[in-house]
Amino acid sequence: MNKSLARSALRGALEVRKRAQIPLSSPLCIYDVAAEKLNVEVRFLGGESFGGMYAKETQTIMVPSERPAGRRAFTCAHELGHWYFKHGSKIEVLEENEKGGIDDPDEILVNQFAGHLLMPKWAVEKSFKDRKLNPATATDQDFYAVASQFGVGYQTIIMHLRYALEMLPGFRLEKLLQSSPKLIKERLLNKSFSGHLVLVDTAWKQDFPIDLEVGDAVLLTFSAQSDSAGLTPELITKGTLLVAAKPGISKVTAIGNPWAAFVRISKKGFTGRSIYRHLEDPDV
Amino acid sequence: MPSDEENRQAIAARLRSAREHAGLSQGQVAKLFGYQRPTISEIEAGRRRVSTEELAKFCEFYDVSISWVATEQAEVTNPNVELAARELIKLKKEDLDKVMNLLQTLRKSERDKR
Repeated sequence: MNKSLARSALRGALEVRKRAQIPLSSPLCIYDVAAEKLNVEVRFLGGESFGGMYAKETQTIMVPSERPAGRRAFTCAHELGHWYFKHGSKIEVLEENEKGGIDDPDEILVNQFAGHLLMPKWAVEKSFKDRKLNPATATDQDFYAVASQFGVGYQTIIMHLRYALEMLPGFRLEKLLQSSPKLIKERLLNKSFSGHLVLVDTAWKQDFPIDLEVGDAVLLTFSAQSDSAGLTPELITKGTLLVAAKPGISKVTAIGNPWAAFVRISKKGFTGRSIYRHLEDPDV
Repeated sequence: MPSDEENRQAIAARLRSAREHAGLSQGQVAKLFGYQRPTISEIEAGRRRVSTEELAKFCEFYDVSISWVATEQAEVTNPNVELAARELIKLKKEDLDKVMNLLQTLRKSERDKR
């Protein structure tokens, strides 16, 4: 990648974090940053071929609601890049994104921007340090926990560490890519699980929200509880497994220490304004 | 020229559509507005008049333009003009319709505070 584009992407991501008053050492919720801190409307929209959009005239980001959680977050950050760099309206088509090999400089720029905004070097380093891990020796499960914390996909964080942050040796990349979220989830739960599983360990920042859709689950590596009907506990041999049952906001507290965090649950495949995604629904 | 009754029905239908696009149920809107749930049903069925103030409040909560709700006139210029034809032809027709239907309801941005 062109070095000047890379520098612009990094500068842009740092500037956006500064404007939103989000420390460089912390993960962020991209939807909240866009809608609540930067006043950019974020909408979730369905559609098999729809891969995302930035509409300049209304300053609206549209995120494909049917994509996996990590992909949705990355798309939102990508579209926020189009907003930040004052590009024109852009629409993404899934087929095109998945083939890779993007050659449009604007698209390369905003992809890099998205990576740095969601996973700045300082925050990634801290995340590994807090877990007493070294990226060069960390396991696939460790990477899965870090990806959970940043709200991005397993492969996304690995590729970002390798190519954008240069924190991961090539031989580790190959090894880590031999694993997959499906395999890691099976190993963690001793069964297959088709929903999104957020892995929360003791290094998860206190009070940082855990976002789920109905049918997704959070696996806490320690004993924890929730008194909300929005989360259903399931038996597991080690840790605590809570499955998202209905939209709303619940609190999860650790048993035996003061750690606590909010779990925000939205409808499966929610479409609408991002600010409403966690509202409880009296009609359900 | 449409009658008052036809206008009211058309506005009611667009309010319903805007609510659905916003991802809200009638119950959620009632709670947000401090109304009884049947009030929202009555409004969306065109059986209860909506004051100008109420209309503005609905539009703010749904983030849609008042001109679209009141007259079906999009506030933004045709978004097709801005998007490259090569991007649009790759989208499935039903997905493109969804995007365009949503875009024509939105408010022109007053958000750019940069």
